[in-house]
Amino acid sequence: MPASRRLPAAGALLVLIGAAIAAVPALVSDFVLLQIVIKSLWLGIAGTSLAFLIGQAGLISLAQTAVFGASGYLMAILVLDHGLTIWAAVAAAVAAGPVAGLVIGAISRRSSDLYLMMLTLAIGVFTFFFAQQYQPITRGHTGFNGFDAPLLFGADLSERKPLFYVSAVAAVAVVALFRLVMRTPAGLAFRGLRDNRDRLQALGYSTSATTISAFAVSGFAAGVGGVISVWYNGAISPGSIDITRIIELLIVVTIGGTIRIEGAFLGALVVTLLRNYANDYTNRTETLVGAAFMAIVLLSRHGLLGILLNLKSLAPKALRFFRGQRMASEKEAVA
Amino acid sequence: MKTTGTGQQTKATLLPLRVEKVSRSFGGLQAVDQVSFTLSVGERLAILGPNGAGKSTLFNLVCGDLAADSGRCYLRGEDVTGLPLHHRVRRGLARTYQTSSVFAGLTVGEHLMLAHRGPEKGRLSLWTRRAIQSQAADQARNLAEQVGLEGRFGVQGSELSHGELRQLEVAMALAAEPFIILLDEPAAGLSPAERERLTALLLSLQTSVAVVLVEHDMDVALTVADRVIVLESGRLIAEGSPEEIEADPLVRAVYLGEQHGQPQESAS
Repeated sequence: MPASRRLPAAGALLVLIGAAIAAVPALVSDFVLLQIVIKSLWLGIAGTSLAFLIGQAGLISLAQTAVFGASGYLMAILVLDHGLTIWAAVAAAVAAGPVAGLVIGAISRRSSDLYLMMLTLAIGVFTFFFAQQYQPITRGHTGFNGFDAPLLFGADLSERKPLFYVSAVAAVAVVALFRLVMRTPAGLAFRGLRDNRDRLQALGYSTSATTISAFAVSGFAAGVGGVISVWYNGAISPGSIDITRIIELLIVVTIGGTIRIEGAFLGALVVTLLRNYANDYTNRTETLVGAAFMAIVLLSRHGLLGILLNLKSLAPKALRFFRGQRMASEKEAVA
Repeated sequence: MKTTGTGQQTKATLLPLRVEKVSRSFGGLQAVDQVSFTLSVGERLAILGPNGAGKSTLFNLVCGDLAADSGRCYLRGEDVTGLPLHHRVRRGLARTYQTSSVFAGLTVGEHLMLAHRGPEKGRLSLWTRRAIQSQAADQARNLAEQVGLEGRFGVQGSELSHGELRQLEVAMALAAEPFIILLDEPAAGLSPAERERLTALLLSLQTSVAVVLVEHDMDVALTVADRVIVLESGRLIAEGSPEEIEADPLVRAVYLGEQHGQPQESAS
């Protein structure tokens, strides 16, 4: 009975999202579309992988850039060094995301909290150094340049509008996929892991298997983000996955908020806006990003999304408050 | 599954639990010393003893939260001595915790679904099968009603009262459809009315389920139990029906005498 009601609602939502996506290129300048919107989309897609891990499974990972890099590098290597056709390389790169997630999950399956952060930080930094120093495979610190984004149904993805549409559809698909996963038995087990590891184990679940599974699922989004970033930049280098990128991803999801995975897009938008426009007013952009990060952490436990959701729940509360006042004054009048 | 003794026994008639001479020490303290007991199908066994007698240690040895120094433990004839808790749970054992331990962000319904899937193969499935899902949801709803959590189905763990958390603990154990349930002081901190309700619930459990109960509250323990074992300083000092245990002078000296000035009334 809820399914039949949910279906038209989901259809309506898709139409609405589709219309919004179609309208964006007409509403913003070419510069904003490329520098802000598309960048926020792929950064946000990568961010959802971390937002999912933190918000759903309680696993704070600093190795999502490693997954991002694994997919991006794999695609570049397969096309530029091995002459594979682009879409085959894309498929391999997207598949590499969950596989890389699986490997990271397997390494850190017994860790949680601070130890998990340290372990995944080591993996993230290791991956960076591997990319920078293992020249025969990764071309060292220059990385891969001159990567041509593919054609899709005749549309060149190195152009703004087609790339925007593909990124937007990918973002919607990634969010939809995460939401589906959240409704599965595994999705419930992830939240169990987040709330109470020991109790989950006492119910018959292996916390190791649950951790590995969560990392694998999250790896998909990081992989997709990595692929689109290479189309966007036409390049990938160790700089794409260095320590500043690890921190950037953490800032993105913290600013956005992890209670909903969609918060990552909000965070990505804020970070991208600050990076682009703060330059006009100050040359201390990074200080500003840091200040915004601290302000939001101090103001809201759940980032910007938390503030927005609070506003949403405040409105009916305020309404009730005023209604209550009126009723009280009416009662007084009666008395 | 390995069966000991006659090969013709079906799963349902196998001895749910057999504990053979298990021991465990912590440093110089012998917490559990060569304790043996068995549990037959549908039996309700209470473990009694004064504070520090080794009840909780024995309980944790049986469910696998602690490893035994020596001795063996069998579930339905299968040796599970070296297996950790989650593997014993998958074989049909369920336990509750003395201090309620729940998931703050999950609803009562989600707790029960999570517990229900624990022993199943599809517990980490990335595919939702609607028929199974709705069946599990119905079962969870019935269970919530059975333990008195009806109307709290969609409430998050962090919002529940102490009494409701205790009820949820028991409901989660039942949700897994185990053949043996270990209850660690399920009545701890409950009001008299809530105790009565819990006692009624425990009495109403299907006879296919065997129950091991560690309980400080004598009313609950002696009403529910068919058989009682009494521990003192890690050793089993008495075993028998609730009436026999109440009448046992040794037991009264070490335990009942300390806790209560006079013999308790027993409902059975």
